[in-house]
Amino acid sequence: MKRDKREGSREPGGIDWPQRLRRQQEASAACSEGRALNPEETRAILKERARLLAAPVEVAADAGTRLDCLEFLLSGESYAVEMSYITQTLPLADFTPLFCTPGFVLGITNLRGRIISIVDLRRFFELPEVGLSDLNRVIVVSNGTMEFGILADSVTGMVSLHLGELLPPPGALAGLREEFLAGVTAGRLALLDIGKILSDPRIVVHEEVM
Amino acid sequence: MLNNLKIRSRLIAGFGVIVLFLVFIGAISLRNLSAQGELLTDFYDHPFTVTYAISNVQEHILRMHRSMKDVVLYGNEGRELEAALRDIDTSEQIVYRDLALARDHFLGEKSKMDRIRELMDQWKPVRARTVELVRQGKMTEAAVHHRDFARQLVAKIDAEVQEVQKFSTAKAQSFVTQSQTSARSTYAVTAVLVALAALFAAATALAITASIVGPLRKAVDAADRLALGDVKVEIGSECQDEIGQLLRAMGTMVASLRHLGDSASRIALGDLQVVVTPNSERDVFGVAMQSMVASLKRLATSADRIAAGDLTVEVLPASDKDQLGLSFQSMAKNLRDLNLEIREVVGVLASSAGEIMTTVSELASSSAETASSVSETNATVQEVRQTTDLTSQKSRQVYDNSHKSVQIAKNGRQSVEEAIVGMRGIDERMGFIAERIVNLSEQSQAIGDVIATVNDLAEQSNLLAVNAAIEAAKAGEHGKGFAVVAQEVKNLATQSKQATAQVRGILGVIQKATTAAVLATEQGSKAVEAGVKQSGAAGEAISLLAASIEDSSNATLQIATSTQEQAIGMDQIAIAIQSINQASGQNLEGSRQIEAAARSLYELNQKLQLLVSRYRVA
Repeated sequence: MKRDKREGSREPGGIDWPQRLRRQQEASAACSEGRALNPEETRAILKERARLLAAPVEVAADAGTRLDCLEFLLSGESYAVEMSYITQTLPLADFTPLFCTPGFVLGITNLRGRIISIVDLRRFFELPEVGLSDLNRVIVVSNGTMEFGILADSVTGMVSLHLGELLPPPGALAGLREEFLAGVTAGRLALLDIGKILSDPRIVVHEEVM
Repeated sequence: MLNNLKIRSRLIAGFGVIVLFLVFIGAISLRNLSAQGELLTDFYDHPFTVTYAISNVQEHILRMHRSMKDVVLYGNEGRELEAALRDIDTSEQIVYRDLALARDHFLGEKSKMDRIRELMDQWKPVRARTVELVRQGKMTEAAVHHRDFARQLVAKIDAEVQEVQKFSTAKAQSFVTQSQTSARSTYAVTAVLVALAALFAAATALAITASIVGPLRKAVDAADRLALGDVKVEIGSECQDEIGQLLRAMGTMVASLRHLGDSASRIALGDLQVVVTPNSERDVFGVAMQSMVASLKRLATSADRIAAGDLTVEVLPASDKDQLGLSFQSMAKNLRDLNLEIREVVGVLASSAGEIMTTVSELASSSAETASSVSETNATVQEVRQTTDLTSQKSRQVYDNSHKSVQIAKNGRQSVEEAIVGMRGIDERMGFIAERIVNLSEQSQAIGDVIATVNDLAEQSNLLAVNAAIEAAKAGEHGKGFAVVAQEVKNLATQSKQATAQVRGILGVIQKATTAAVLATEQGSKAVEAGVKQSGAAGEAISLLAASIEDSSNATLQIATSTQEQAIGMDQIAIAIQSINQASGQNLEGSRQIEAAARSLYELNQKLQLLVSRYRVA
């Protein structure tokens, strides 16, 4: 209707009101019924999507050297965690901060009746903080004895890494981060050695305040 | 007797008598004063001197007696004794000296004084005996001696002295009484004499004043009457003094004035034959009167000549202030000037009369010309009249046309008003459209809410897909197919997100378009408003046009009526020209009469010239 008016003002002659009315009726009919796509159209759309999504299937040359990982973003950098340690992912809906804990412990949250602690790796690795956002996710990791949630900016998806392609961590990285890095890919994806983190005594909080 | 003396003699006599009196009184007073002086000298010489000397004697006798007592009492002290004896000697000397003085001036019996002296002499040996006894140291005997002889003696001396003193006091009393009597008598005599002198002086002064003032008053009365111009007063006196002389001189003056008055009265009555002889060379009145008579005679002669027609008379005034002479002079001059002017006027009159005659003949010929012009004018008026009729018709037509124009203008105005109403309708519709568009915009906001929900769902689906993938990985080889499904679900979620983003973009475009539409509607509304305003202005212009057409139609109506009136006026002009024609005929007759009058004027002028020539001017 607005478009009609705009076009009408450009017309040098009189306004063709019947044509305007007809166009409007067509538009409103389309809105109310929903556009009934014919089968060819539908198929074309789906094909297009499939083409876009189709990833080249890598032949598992040697399965032993491949590692399934979950990729996530943390402070603008991509990290990966070995899939076998991951229990599940969940959105950070609600958490309770704990007093008398180190800075890297954000707090605790209720996961279907289980209480798990949330660790902020940015603080653990002494990285710059971006802050919490709605998209913050928690990746729950466990090695059977120790279980906690890793805070992530966003979860990108599953990746399969060749162990042979992994490079050692660059020298620029020092301290704690280097210690817990398993390797870095050519695409600057850092693979965390989550088993080491889980078994590290520094992650265990044992403080008494009385 | 007093009146025949000169005033000077009278005054000298009076003052002389008063001076004599004063000398007499002065002599008496001087005599009494010298008597008083003698008395005072006597008083000093006798009682005063004696009393003083006796008092002194008494005092020193008492001092000697007291010193003797000292001798008797303190004679054994050598120094005291010597001092007392020295005092006694001094006092004794004073006593003897004063006694001698009193004796010389004493007025009573001198024997009394001698007796006091004797007693003093007797006292001397007694004192000597006492002193001797004291010196011998026989103090008691000395005291007895002193008591037995000296006291008695001193008492006697004192008694004698007292007597003498009493006598001299009595004498002084008698002197004072005598002096007072003498002074009183002198005072009385002097007072009486002064009173007499005052009375005499007053009488003399009155007599002299009366003898002078009486005749003077008469003279003043006469002078007052003279000052009022009464020359009939009679003044005379038999007295030989100065006032008598004054009165007689005044009498003479009055007589002279009376004579002058008579002469003046006669001159006033016009009698110029009066002969005035001045009493002396310095008689101002007489000389003036004489010259006045002469001047009046001169003027009379001049007047006679002017009366005879001789205007050449030249009157010389006696002075600058001679009003009559000046008047005469100016009168003669004025008469001369008048005569000359009359002569000139008469000449001018003669030429004018000739000119008038020629003018009158010209007038007669021009009257004939006027008559022919009038007939030509009449023809012209007829032509103008016809033109006026034509004008009247044309203006009627114009009036009708303008009436129609007014009707058309009214119709136009109505149309404009209708157009305005239509425009207002359009404006309302525009508002309606804008309202609807805004509603649509609000509706699209709801669509945005729905999209947000869909987006949220896609997000959750994505997470679920990740978890599913994790579970599939845990299942190991058996979960491979599940992992593919999970990947598919994740893709769908991503697509949903993209679709919502597209819808959001479209919604943004819709909102922009809506805003543009609302703005366009507002512009349309403004345009409509401007249109309304312009239509109003057009309506006003049409109204004004109608009014002005109506005005001009009224004006044409007026033109039509006034041309009607013009036609009537033309008719009246034709009649007026007819009367002008008649009048020019009458003019001809009138000019003839004027000619006759001019002729008689000429004759009159001849007579005037004759009359004027009788006066001689130069």
